[in-house]
Amino acid sequence: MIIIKNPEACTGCLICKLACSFHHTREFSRSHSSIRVLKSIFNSEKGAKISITFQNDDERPTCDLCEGERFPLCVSLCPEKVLKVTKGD
Amino acid sequence: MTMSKYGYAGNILLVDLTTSRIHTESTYKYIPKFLGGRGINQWILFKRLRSWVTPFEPSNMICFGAGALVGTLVPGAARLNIDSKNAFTHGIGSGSAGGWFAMELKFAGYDHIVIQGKAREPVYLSVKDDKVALKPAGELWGKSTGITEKLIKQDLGVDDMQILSVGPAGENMARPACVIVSGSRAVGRCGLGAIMGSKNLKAIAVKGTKSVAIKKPDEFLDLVITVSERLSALEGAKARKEFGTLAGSPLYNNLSALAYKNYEDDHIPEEHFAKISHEVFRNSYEIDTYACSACPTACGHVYSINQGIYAGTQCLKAEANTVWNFGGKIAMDDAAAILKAQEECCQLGLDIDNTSSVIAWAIDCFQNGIISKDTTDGLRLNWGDHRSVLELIKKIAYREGFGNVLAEGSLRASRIIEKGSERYAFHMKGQDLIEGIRSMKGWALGVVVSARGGAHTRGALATESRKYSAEESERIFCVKTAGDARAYKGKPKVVTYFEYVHALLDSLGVCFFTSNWTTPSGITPDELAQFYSLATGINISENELMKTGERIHNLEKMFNVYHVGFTRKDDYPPKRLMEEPVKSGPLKGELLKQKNWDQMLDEYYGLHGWDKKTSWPTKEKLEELGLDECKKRLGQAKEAKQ
Repeated sequence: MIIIKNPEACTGCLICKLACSFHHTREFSRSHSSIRVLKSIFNSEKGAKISITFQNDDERPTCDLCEGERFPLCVSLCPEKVLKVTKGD
Repeated sequence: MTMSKYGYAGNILLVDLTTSRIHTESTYKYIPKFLGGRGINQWILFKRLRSWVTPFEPSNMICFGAGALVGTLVPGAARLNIDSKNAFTHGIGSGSAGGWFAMELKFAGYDHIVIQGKAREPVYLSVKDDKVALKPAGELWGKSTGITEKLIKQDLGVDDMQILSVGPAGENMARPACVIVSGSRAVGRCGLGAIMGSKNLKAIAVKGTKSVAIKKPDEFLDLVITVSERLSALEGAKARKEFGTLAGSPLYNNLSALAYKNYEDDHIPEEHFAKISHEVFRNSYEIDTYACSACPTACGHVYSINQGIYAGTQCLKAEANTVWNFGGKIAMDDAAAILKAQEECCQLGLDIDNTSSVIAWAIDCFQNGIISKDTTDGLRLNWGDHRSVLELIKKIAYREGFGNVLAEGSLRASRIIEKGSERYAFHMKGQDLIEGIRSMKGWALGVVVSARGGAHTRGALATESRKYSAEESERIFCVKTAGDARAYKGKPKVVTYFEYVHALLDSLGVCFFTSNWTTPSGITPDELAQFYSLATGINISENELMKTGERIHNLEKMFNVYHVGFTRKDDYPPKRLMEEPVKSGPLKGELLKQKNWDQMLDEYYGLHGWDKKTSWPTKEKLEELGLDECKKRLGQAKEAKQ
């Protein structure tokens, strides 16, 4: 599965979110993505709150670990290495 | 008309504030000829604005344009361009900002928003996909940009909207007013915030749930991956990630290219600079970093002040300009006070460049006995005195007392004060100058000839501060001197190249800092052409794309010709910078020599195919670029001049 290794390093660039929508639809959007990123530059919390939809969700597509891609796009494109693929439970 | 359901959102939102009429038109009638973002904004303005319309009249228009590649994963494709008639020069007004607004606009289904007219009462524009409405903004009027964002989100009940707004400075039509995008990114220069204020338009809020489609998705993704990997390894990108654009300040100070005490010198003394270096800001104040949409570099840095008289201040962005302006031009040596000044400007909606420049002019006038406490509402104006600077910032935003004079910019202020004060007003075409330009000749040429009235965001070179080798220079620009600050020779060619490249970047919505502006390894025009072709399905070569950049550059030049009649004489630096050399630093003694400048202009106009005597584009050049409407207006401008 994909884990959120160090959300405090997230810069809010939304590359993961856009990459995820691209995997699901071959288009770019904020809404058709399994990833949510909440970054506020107005509070003093470092990084961002990130969540990934792994189970059926009416609003968002479920993460399928980028089935059909050469590698999980969010993990490989994140410039801060916030996300990681693990083989554990 | 070229149709493409790919890359573009496809719609332009047109809002008449006088009649409250809202409708849309297709983006496709403007592409690929004007590309998007700045190019389409400028064409709409050129086509519809007549020369007798003044900036603050309801008939003036203001255009907001997301670049053609925004909303995709092209690194740095986050930029929003805002264009209108310039509140300082009456020529082109143009600025750009990052953040997330432009992406959201495309996801809402629009490439551009075009505003005209004036609302009877203050309003803000709410855009949620196809639901577009003008909302009352009476309760927002007078509020800071930060509070405005929060209140609009509460009003609409949507927390993750993207908002751009003006502060009290824009409402009061202070000419240095800017537009603040996504809470912290400023579209500075040209008084664009004052133009929004003149229309009673407080803000625009956008939320979108649509998509940007890509014609050849797999090839597009491959190119994104290739370019992203290359960019992430670049030293310049690493430095910007660590320090923001503040990382560039030492490069400029080490080339005697930072204005100090309103151009008394172009070098900040070392002991002063050490107190306001990029390391000081990072080590003492930084609490977080952030990136614009789709940007791997994250040059946004959030600062917090925990002690001293400015404790409790949180500053959402500081740029290289912040240090040049408050640290250099005004000579403040307290980093916390500089952050405070930056944040005050952000909340009041003031552009730090024009604001600090007119304050530097006032201090210079005070120090030289031209004005006294009788004029300045009792304030004693000394170099580096942050308390009086903060007072003046507020006065400018509210046009209060002496602030009402300063809110006009230094040239107009000097005409109000008179008594020889124009000697201290450093401006280009009527807009304040911020760059130190005596030492680096290509940087100087790009700044001075810029159609927006000064500023280094058109043709100014970064090759001198990055010291390109002769071989590197020859390979890229076919001249050996791009990296040699002192050389005049060869610079017009490099400036011309970057004028076209920057026109493309602003039209495609790609940040200068992921491009090849500061490093040859950045995104090249060839790669921009590939990205555009793969995204839209409209195949365009590198040469055709560069021609488009040239077309947009000529269009802006023609706006200035038709609206103001600027000529060759307006393309010279302020006289004092041609007479008084830099006093210190590694390039001590440098100035801009008349004879060399004449030669540079001759070559520069020649490269553009412009008339060397007037500086105006020729009929033949406009025909070659397919700018028939511009050709017509050229004839009108010639008649008006006779």
